[in-house]
Amino acid sequence: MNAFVEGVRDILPAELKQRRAIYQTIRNIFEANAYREVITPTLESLELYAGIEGLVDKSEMFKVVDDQGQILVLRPDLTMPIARLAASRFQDSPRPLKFSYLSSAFQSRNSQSLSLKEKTQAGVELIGAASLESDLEMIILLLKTLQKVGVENPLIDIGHADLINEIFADLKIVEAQKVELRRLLAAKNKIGIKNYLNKIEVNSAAKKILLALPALFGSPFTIIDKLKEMPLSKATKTVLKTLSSLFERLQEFDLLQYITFDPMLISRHGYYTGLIFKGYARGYSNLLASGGRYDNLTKNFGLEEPAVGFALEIENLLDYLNKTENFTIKKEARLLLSYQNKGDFYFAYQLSEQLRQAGFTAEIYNQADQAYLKFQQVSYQLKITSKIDLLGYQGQSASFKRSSPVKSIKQILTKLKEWE
Amino acid sequence: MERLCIAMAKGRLAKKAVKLFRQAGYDLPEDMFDSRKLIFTIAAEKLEIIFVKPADVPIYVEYGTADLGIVGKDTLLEENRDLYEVLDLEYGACKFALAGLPERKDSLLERKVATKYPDFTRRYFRALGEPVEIIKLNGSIELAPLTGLADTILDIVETGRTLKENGLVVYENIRDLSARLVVNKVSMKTRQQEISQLITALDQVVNGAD
Repeated sequence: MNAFVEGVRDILPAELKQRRAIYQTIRNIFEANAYREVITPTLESLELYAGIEGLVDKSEMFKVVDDQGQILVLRPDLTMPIARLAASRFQDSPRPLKFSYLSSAFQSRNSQSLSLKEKTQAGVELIGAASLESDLEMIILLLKTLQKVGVENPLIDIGHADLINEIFADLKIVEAQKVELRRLLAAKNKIGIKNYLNKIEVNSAAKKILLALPALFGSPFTIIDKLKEMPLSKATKTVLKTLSSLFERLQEFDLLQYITFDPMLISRHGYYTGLIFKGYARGYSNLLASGGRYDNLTKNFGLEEPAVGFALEIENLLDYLNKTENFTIKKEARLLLSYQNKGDFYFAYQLSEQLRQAGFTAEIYNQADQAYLKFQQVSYQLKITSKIDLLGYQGQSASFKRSSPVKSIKQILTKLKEWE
Repeated sequence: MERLCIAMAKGRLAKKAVKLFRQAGYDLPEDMFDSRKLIFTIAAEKLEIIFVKPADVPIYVEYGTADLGIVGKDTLLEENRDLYEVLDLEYGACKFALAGLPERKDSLLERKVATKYPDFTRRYFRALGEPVEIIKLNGSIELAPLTGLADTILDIVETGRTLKENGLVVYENIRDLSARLVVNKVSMKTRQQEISQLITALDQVVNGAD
């Protein structure tokens, strides 16, 4: 039997410990910012996802058939279920709604994320808010979260979904050519654009702009200025103005050093309608977070309202933190108790309870050998015989006379403190 | 600052890539091809160059192990990875072509295509709406029509000499190919300055100053 499934993995204690520390940090920030956590079902209806263009390709979703023959999917993303939640259970609740989540998403093919089919995402959704301030809030919250979990040098790349559409409209690009051009622009493939433009009919001014776009990204105000110089319509310039004021606000918060602007930042998620952003760390070549505004998404559930959110890629974040060794997790102090006389089990138990209360990880086990102690990374041993022996992993030792549990524990704790 | 890592396709493209870097003013070691060494650290230029199999270049770059890569467009089309493709280096020019015996035996209804590029071949015929049976081979593709394994081959054709010597003819040229400079999507943003400099330097060698 081959019990291994490609693209999924077990999370073992050491990693889980790191994860829990990160989860805790993230949850604390989200909750402190009034984003309350929800858990949506792992199984969702295929129709929920299949109807939405550009979200996740149907072929990349895991499908499950239930006993009624209905096709379900393992949720390929977390934003859709929350949009559904907001439009159904919270239909009549006052806005804005603020939710956060920390769950797995499943995709059968997953580039850019260590090829995992099950990946953990933590994110927030702000539903029913359209203001510039809400966009700003998202970006700041993402920056703060990244910094808090240990990303020293975060970078947020910002784009706008309307920008490419407005530019296409300005350049009179016909519908049939948009898909290919969008793909080429997203890949910054200047050669491809050049070749493609030779095949289609576009005026020379438009050609010039399309060929300039792949190299236009970086420092926000520089790029805005360069775009402003181009012969683009008022509608396009309005989008630029919105972005400009966002950048000005970020400057006011003294955060502009973490921001870059890419007018051709095009997300795989086709549902974004305005602001799009991605989170990176300098020196790390994988995506740490992505987000944006999705004002049309809730329309699919009969309730049209603005919304914005982001998701952190937890596996990539862990990979980054491990590579940069930006982890500060306190090593647990693990203590193993053993006793010689059967009648001492209760005494050992009483001691172990006291030790747990004092913050130690304590277990009672009489057959521990060297291999076990090493594998479990036991730091201290407590041997109960006619006396009590305390042994440390660095060769320390101490001996106490038997007395009441309360008295013994006092002696033991004093000694342990001394050793630490 | 950390070094920029560049993955180059081993083989004949690598020599041209190294030459190109030298022309662009990068001081690369003389002995790069004298040994079987696969990794070169060029401290003065803040570069690291690794030699990998051509098909692996896009993988190294997509995963971010390498920030940049130099690889043939044929490999990029086959691998179809999520990368920035920023520069046509214009060497290693060749074509994707369909070829076979002079008397074409295949028909639209039944066509067997042998190729080293199964994924590209699948996408190509799917776009045309033509059903084909794809046979993946790892080399000497020209043998397939001669031995009757397949009617048609889809392969890269440079001068056409190999085809000619094996008595095969080109049915159809599919597209031009050449070496490309690709960049990891995140590195492009997080190390924009250094990468832009490198692109500009190479661009000037290839396309002249402008």
